[in-house]
Amino acid sequence: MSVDTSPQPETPTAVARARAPQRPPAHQRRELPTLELLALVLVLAVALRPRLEGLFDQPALQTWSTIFVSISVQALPFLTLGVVVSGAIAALLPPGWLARVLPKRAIAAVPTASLAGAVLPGCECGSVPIAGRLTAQGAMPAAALAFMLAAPAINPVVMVATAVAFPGQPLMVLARFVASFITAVLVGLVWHRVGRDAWIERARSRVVEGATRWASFTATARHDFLHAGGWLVLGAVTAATLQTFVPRGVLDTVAGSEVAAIAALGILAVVLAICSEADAFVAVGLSQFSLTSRLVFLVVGPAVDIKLIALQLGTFGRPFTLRFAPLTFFIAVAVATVVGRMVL
Amino acid sequence: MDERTQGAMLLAVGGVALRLGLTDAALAYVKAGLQIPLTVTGVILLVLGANAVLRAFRESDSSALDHAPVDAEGHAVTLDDGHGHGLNGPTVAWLLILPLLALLLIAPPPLGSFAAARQSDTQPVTTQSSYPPLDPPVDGAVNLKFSEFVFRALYDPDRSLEGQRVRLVGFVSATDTPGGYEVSRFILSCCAADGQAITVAVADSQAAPPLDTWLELEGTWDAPPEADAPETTTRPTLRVEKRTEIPAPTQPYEA
Repeated sequence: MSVDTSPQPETPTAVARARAPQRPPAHQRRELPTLELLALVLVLAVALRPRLEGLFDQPALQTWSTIFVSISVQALPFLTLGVVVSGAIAALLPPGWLARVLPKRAIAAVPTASLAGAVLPGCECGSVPIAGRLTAQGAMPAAALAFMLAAPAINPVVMVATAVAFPGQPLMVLARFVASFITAVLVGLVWHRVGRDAWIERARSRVVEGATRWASFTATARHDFLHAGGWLVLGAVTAATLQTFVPRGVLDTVAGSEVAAIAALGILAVVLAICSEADAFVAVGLSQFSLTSRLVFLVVGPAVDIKLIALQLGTFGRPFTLRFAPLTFFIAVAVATVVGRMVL
Repeated sequence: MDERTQGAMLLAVGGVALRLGLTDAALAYVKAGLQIPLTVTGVILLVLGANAVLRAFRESDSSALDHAPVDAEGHAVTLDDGHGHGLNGPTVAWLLILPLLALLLIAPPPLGSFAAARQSDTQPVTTQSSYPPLDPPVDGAVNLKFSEFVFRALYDPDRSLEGQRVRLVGFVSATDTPGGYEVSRFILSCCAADGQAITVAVADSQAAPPLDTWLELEGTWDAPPEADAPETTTRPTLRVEKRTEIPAPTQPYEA
């Protein structure tokens, strides 16, 4: 990488560049050559594979990787479907239509907004900015927030993924839908009662570049897939590690106590910010745990996790998030527990 | 992660998905029904990846002016929407390299004796209450699925297995049991992550083969006296008459 020290000619471009912020062009910036790194790692892996074969012969490591890869591979088509559909919706729907269409009274607007989530697949990455835009376009905050909670949780892609993950247990799909819907409505109504508009700072919406609809669709889909894919991998790593390396006695003890199981999976859902199209498959890998505790995992995940908390901090600000996140967590756990005990 | 790298990552994941969808490699991890969705997924990701790489090359070809947005005073504005990245792609996306490396470096095998040993001893239960007549024998033995053998042995009141010569295919899951060894097969509900092992005890005059050897066994069910009701931890015993070592089947899990 050489630094250009020759005197710049006085063309308009050069003048503009001189006045622009002191940001050197990309190839001179001290950034890691990420593309080259990625290519190097993959090529090395393929080339060294015969040499390294003996290293990975350990049965525990092999079992771990089988479980890890199986969760990742199983979830991949559903993740992709989810980002493609939500990207298409983001690109095709005229902005502001939802805000116009919602009823004016909270008691009607909140459930309506929640139901709208059932037909609009939205990855978590998209639901927070969408809610920010809804608020900016005049929808009442309670309805926007209910939509934000419902869209990632009860859309058709998620329901299909849950059905595939728990074959022969259609009640699991029903329980997830009901529990997530009730959670969204309850949180929205509670917020309408006690929330104050002052807590929501000016909501900034995400800028998605795209001169054309195709450009904005591909940018959204790419961004959402990479984000969600990364978190999915983290979830798959966790499930595989629990299944392979955590002593069975520990797992059985935690899973055996209903209170401990619900608490553990509720916290795990917050820590592992897995996209809702994929979290059912991670729950599949937690087979020692009861269906109710796994329902808690599936209901809490799309409602509140560290990724959503970060997004909400960025879009709505700190006073909002500090109140909204715990509220959502406790309502989600409570509703999922009750629904689970009744239905499952 | 800049746009080119994002594109490359998508191309890599898409390529792997396509390969898994078009070959039998996926059968070690997921059910056969997922192969078509995996192929479609691979194509979609390849398109998204190619699009990103092409855009990046086109943009670097045009002006050398930085594309960073600036506000009125010329200060660069970060498009940080608060979840872990600025203009460039998300950092967490680097984790996507892990499944690629796992497939490339480790090529994880189907679940075997290690996973079977970690399971609890309880056999899976079934709601089936009556059992249809067995299929006619092929080459002198009835081909049976592992699960069917175990369910008929444990739960069939008519004891349809009695006296029948049957043929089972499974892998050696334990060699330290008294009186022989154990052979298992995994059943998947969703994918390998929830695989459950079904185990049969084997009474064989020959010594036990090494763990994870795939065997085709022909023999008869070692029926306990009628009075004993089986417990859920019982492994039914197969008295082996003929044993053949076979290569691992392309479909290692039982449907």
